[in-house]
Amino acid sequence: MARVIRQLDDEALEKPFNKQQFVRLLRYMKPYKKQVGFSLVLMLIAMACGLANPFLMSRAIGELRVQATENMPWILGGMVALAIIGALCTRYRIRWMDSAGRRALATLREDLFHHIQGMSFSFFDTRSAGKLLVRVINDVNSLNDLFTNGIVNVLIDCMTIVLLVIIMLLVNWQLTLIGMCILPLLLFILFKVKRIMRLRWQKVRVKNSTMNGYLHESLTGMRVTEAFVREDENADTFRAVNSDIRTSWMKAVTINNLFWPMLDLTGNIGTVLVYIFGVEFIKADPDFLANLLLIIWYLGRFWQPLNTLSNFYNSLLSATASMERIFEIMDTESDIQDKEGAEVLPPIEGRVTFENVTSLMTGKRRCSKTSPLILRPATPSLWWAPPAPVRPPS
Amino acid sequence: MDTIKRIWGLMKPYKKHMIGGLILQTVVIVATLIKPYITKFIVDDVIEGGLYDMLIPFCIMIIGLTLLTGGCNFLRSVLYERMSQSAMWDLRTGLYAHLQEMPYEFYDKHRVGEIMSRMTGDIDGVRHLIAFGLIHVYEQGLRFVGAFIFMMTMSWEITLLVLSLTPVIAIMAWLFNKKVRPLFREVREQNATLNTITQENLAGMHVVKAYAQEPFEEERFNKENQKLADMHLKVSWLWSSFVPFMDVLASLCTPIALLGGLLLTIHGNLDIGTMVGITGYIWMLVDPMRQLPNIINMVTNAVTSAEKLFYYVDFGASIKEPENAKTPVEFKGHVVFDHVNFSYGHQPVLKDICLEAKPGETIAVMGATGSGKSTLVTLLGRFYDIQSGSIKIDGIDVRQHALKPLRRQIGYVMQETFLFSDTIADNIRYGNPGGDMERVERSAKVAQATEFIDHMPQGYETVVGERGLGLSGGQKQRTAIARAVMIDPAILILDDSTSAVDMETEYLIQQELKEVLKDRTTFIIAHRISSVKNADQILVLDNGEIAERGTHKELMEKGGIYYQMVMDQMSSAVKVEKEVQ
Repeated sequence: MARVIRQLDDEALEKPFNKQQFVRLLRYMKPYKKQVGFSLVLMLIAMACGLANPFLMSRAIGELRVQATENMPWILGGMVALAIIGALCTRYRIRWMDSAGRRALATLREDLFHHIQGMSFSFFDTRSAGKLLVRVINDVNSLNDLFTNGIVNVLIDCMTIVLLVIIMLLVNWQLTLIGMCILPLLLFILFKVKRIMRLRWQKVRVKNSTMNGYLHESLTGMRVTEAFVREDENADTFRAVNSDIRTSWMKAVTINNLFWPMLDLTGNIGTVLVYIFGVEFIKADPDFLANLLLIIWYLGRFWQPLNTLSNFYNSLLSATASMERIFEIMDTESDIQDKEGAEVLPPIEGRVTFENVTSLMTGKRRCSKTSPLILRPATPSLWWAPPAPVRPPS
Repeated sequence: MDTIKRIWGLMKPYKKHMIGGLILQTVVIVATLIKPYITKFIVDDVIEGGLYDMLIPFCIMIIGLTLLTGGCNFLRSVLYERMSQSAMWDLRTGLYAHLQEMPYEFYDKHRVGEIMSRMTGDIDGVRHLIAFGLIHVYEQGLRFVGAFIFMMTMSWEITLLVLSLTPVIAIMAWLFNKKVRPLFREVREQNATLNTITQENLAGMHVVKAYAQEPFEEERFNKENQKLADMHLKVSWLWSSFVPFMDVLASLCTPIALLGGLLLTIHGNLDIGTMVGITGYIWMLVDPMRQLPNIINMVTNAVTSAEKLFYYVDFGASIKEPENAKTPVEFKGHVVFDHVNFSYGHQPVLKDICLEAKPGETIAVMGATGSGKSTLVTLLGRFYDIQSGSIKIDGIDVRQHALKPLRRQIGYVMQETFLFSDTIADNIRYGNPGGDMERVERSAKVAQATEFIDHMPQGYETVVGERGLGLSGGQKQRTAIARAVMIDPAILILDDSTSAVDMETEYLIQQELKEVLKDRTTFIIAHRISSVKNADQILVLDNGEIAERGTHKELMEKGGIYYQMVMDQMSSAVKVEKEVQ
């Protein structure tokens, strides 16, 4: 029978949003204020270009319908120009934002490393090197998304949604409201379903790391395993661990793959609603076709900013967990520090005296009060102590 | 090609999933292709033509088709995920079982990190190919052809116009891919470098601090950290030069189609519905072009990964179970080495070794580092095969023994003590998973481990090992001794296994062992004279050869290497004592 694998890495994957620490993190972006500002402007332009494209296209269809050709070159030229402007803006936005984010990240990592170097032995005794490594490498990496895309994207997405609604309302407020009927469904899918999706994927990751841990250890100890003929039991355990991965994966992927069909269905319901009610407008005015198509196309753009918003929400939760772990270390003061006005040590002779030494680790005094232990230079000393019972739990 | 065939072999047990998925995918694509046609009808016949009664049926068709595509797509993906996960399960557990049969030689040659990346990254690459490779190629290809045909029936002029643009997109995507791949690799490597530096720094923190090397360490770290940031920026630089413009090209297809529409309108033969319909097909022509490099990429990556994996599969276990394997009813532990020669690669390790150990005897092996002591004892469990001579246990050559029963009779306490991240009790039980608690405690007592285990926060249930509570060297060694005692071996091997235990405890362990393993054969490798002097026979190995043999008394009288070792150890002990005083 396969045994249960002990779950030994029990770090929180997510934490509720913490404003104070978020602000503290933002401070690392401060030197790049200008770049962020410019990027924001560029993104606004790119967004406007993106929104204008369907508008021009609908006008083109309107023109073609009545076989008017005089405005067409302008419209088509406009579409090409907008696409290029949009691309240029995106290009520079990516460059500026990424360089700001990456540099801020590098500074944060530098600060963290510097802080760790200043800690005393007692700090390292209570934390495994593996965990500290995760802080310096993985936890800092996981903030990247927040730095380079997250914050600016959120602003832009909110504005996109507002702008979309305004334009649609101006084009035709009745159809817009009808199309908006799908919004509750959309929100449900994007926030509720996505949340479940995310939790299930987290489970997959946990199972995967359990497998990795087990595999790593069993490879390291393979000589022992072979010597003690433990292969069959280990194979059973390994099979069980892998079955766990498969089960959790299938659970996650099932809901994951429902996501797009659900989104697609919602979009199509919106389209159909607009057609059905739009026909009444067409009956009154055949030229309304262009507006009808515009509303449908804009409606199709709605989910995108909402989707990034929901992604942002989710990445914020996991970033907060990383953030707290990083700051926890940065806030731990070293218990061994230079005294104020400490002097630089002159060349020493090497005479060491232990007097009334009490170790914090065990709390037991190791030297008798009356006779201090004195070590003279050039005398090799032999330290002998009975084997310590147990190291303190880390 | 051979590799692809073997990957195919992994998918074969799941043929039903595969074919079912292909059928479902076909339904999806046909339905996707019909949809823009309905839009065309809505615009042309309902809106322009005034057939308003037809609107509701068309709308129902749209919703119906959406449900159909969504449902089929979902089922298809679940089938393929199940197939890929199951194939991965087979591959990974199969490889694991195979790895467990690998000789020690394999682990001498391959580092754990390397094997790990095969078992995770490379297996995942193959999984990716199984889950997406085939179906993606099929989907994109069929959709491309389908969209092309449907568009041609609507307007061949516009279709050809749009089609002329797609190769440009494919070339750009290909160029981008070619340039970005080495950069991604660089980023990965730099990440690994930073990781290594940090790890070394943290692991060696005591040394760093003792030598006040923090500023140097920080400088080194900052340099690599900066380099990583720069590399990331290089990627986003390249990304920003390509991706937005690829998007431009893709979105240019629409104005170009409109331009075509404009020209056709001038000649007066274009329905507006056709124009709207065509805009719905354009992405189906463009998308495969953008995906093409990715797909090629995925296939080549998966094939390289698979090749590495199959290398492991083909790395035969050189130590094989013999045909007509013999297993004595009861092992007595009678060991005979008869002119044994063993070399590792081309390096001779043991030369012409002859020895006999009768049940109940203790054989001590001494010698300098690298003299072949550990190798000599690992040969007993047939972890390596010898080149000439023979090793017999209870009169049967080890190569004739059934492998697992043979190893079960040998209790190894290895030089490098390795404990698993598990409870102390389960670590002691490692070779005897069904063993009861009473026996665990008895074994711990023999190894003089009871006292420190009782002081543990959860006693025998305390989790130790890499991810648990850290034990001192001596504690680890005592646990490992208990682990060997637990299987009640006919032959016990103590390979330098009390080096971190103080002499007094060592003596107690030896006394207990003598008691428990009365009629068992014991091999002791040690450096301390106190550990070996009571042995029935002491062997002194020098460069793979037995230089001296005999009891403590005999060897002392002989005045050879052993005598010298004893003298050295005694004099240094005396010297230290004097100096301390």
